[in-house]
Amino acid sequence: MSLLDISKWAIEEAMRLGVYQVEVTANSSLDTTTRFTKNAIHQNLASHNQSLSVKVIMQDKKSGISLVNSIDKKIIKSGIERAISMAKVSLSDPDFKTMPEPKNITPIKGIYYNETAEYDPEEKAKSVKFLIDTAADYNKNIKWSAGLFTTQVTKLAIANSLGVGVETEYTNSSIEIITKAQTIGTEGSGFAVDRKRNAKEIDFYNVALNAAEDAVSTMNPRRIPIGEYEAIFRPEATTLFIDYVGSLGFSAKAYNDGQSFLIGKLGTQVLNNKLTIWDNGRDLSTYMPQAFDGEGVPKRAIMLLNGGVPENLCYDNYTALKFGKESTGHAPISFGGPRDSPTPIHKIVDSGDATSDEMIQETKKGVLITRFWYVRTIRPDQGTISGMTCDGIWYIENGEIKHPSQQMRFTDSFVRVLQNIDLIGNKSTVKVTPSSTLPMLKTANFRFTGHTEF
Amino acid sequence: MQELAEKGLDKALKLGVEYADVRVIESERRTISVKDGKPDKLSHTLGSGFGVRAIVNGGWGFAGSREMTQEAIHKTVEQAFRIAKASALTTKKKVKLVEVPSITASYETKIVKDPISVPLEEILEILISADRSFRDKSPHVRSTSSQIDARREVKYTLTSEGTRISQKIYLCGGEGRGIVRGNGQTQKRTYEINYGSRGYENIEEVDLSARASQAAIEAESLLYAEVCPTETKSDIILDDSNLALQIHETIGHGSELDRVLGTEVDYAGMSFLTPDKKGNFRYGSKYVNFVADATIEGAAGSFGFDDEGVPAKMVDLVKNGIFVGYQSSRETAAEIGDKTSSGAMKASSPLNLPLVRMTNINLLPGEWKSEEIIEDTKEAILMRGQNLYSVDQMRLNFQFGPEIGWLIKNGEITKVIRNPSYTAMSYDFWGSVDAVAKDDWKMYSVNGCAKGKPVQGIIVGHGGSCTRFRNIRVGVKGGN
Repeated sequence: MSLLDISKWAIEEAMRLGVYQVEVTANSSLDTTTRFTKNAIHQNLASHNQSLSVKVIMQDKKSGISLVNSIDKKIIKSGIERAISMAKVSLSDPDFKTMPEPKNITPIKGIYYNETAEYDPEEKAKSVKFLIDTAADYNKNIKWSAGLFTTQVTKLAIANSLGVGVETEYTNSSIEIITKAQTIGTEGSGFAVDRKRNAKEIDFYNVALNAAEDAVSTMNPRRIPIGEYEAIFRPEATTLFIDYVGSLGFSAKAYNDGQSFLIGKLGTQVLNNKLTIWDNGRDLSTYMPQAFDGEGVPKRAIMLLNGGVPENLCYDNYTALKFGKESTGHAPISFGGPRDSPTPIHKIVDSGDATSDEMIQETKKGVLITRFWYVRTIRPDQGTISGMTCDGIWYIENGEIKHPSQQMRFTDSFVRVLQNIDLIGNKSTVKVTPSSTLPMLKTANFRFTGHTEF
Repeated sequence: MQELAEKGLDKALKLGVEYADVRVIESERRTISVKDGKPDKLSHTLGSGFGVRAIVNGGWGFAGSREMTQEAIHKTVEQAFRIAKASALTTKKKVKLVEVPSITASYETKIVKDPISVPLEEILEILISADRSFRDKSPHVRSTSSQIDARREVKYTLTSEGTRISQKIYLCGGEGRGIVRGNGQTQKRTYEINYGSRGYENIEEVDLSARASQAAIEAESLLYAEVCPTETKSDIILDDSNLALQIHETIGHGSELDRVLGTEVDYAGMSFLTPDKKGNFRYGSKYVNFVADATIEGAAGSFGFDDEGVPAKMVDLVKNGIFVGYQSSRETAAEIGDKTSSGAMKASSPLNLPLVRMTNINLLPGEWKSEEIIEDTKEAILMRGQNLYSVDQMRLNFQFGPEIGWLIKNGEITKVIRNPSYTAMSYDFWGSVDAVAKDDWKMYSVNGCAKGKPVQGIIVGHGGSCTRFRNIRVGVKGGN
């Protein structure tokens, strides 16, 4: 039986047991992860997962959820019974109207690759070895590399008792490398990544070279003073700000809970007028395109931010009906627990026209940042966050990179950072989390508040 | 379960592994949550599966599956074997493990009442009542949410060295929070039931409604409170869950030996506590003593045996301020020449590889009474409530922003301070401690500790009591 067939069977069982509406989410996946450090593989694993989640709604709008890690009908049935018993003691949810009705969904081609599914352990080990050796051969000061190579093969089916019944199968693969360079008294660190749906298209050679080059060029870092700087963010760093904009700004739930920095500001100039952000789950330039959301509602493109003006929020079916809107297809896929807030996960930032070199030339006193680490929210309503730079930061003066910097702590508002954008890169790169496509950004003001020792 | 595990191990031995272990797990979890005064999600999870680790030609392999059949476990063992052989293609030195006596044993969490069998209505009543208590005290409430979570895990661990261990471990706890908005401010206060490896008595012993009321009163006071002084030095006092989080993020993660050896560079980071510092590096003042202790009955991180079959134990991490030991595994201990593992290997599911994880990382009690510390303090900020936390990749620089602060003046707690924050280097921070209480020492929990790839989330325990830190940078610019 396919996952969709099993899901439909579970729906029939639940309806037979007297539920009002039911939604089933079933998945089966094979994930492999090859982690390496100090130039050798130290963790190498494969996991076959399967789960089936049932959400039941009773006539009186009470709900219950269960999850089982089996496709055995007896176990699924016991899961349904558990969900019903939980629903019976719940309280009615007056905001619940109905589950979504089925809509036409055009499948997306080009999201499943046999090459990824069939990448075997020996090939993976050889690819990792090639990556490590390529980085090591770049320069005599390269000390070691660490990172991970992953592949995922996922089957997913979503169905409900109103006739929604959709399924998909897709593959993903990624390589991440952190390369350390070292000579007497100093160390440098470089990071590079590539993500493809077809693992055979991963560019191991250039990933290794990019990380090695940055590792060597960040040796002998100097400490720069705490304070405000112009800042150029590479795409991995850009993703931090754009993800915060998405999760804290455009979720209809965050907006109505008073947690969004956009409260009362839809249709007004909030961020810089150079910044335009779409969300399009069907766009093949994103890493993990999806034809439908976690409720089986078709994905469609929406304009989030048009020239710095927020235009639309993201709704799932529940929040849409609660606030008199239409679902935008942003229900997260949910397994056995409360569904997360509807958020944009396929963000595409419109490219600008600046090259990386032009951004540096336009910087009077600033920094070039590769990525961030351990960033946490301080004030969600004001967009204030704090975290560390990671794996490559360089000080720029009068249009030239002067020297690498020690890693710095920043504390700033992503709203302020994105209000002060003055340049946007001319190329977009696929970034994960899970699926944005982003260019480099340059902002006029970025606040560093602390130092560390490396 | 045990039979399946034996079949898996037999297969591994037939294939010619140098070492193998098999974990077979069945788990059950029930989560009841309430949002804005009404049941939000009532969910139940029934899980099962197994994970197989193997060493072949000196390389590691792991495979896991949810399919509880002989055919599936044989196939999974073969996969682990093949992966281990592939790993060995890049291995420069073969995996070595410190000795652990093989053992046949069982362990079960001591409980009074099964937390998963308690009627749902009873739990809902607790949550709805607490939610109501928060709302009753908060005219500016914007949203409220709370949950109670109970878990049971039955696990068989078998090793090719002859170990056979069965464990049944319970874990339950919960938390709630309210968000208030007014006077141009949005503020949050949480109220928790610390997780414990206990039964439903862990929930029953807490008056959650009283905690919710107090949280609401404090949240309201934050809306009109003065902001934390900006960019100045101050003494600070920590005495609650934020102290637990501070322990967690600094010495907790900093003393994980796998991190020190670089196996988490690609995700969780490293640590500055390198082996050359063991036994001679001053991590804290003489009043600072940290242990990793998996033997504390009822604590969130307690168990009978870790996932390598090492019996639960207590090990010193920092003694009289000096860094003296690590949390380790059989492999990482061997790598630095230690004779034994600290017994810290744990996986969050059968499909995950065991990693060095915190058990209960505790700041041992000092000699003071908590009220004496307050009375003895001329000026300081008392900070409470887990909120912002951020630490660098080496566990050196950190910045914390608890939920609430109170100004202490001349030995008395005075006015509320909003948006408190502090930042320091780990060893400077713990080096500034001059008073640790003993009377209010208790166990807390930190939920959602994440490590590894794929990411594994677990709940760990932390013990602590009222502690005073001298001359700390507070009120980070831009953070308030």
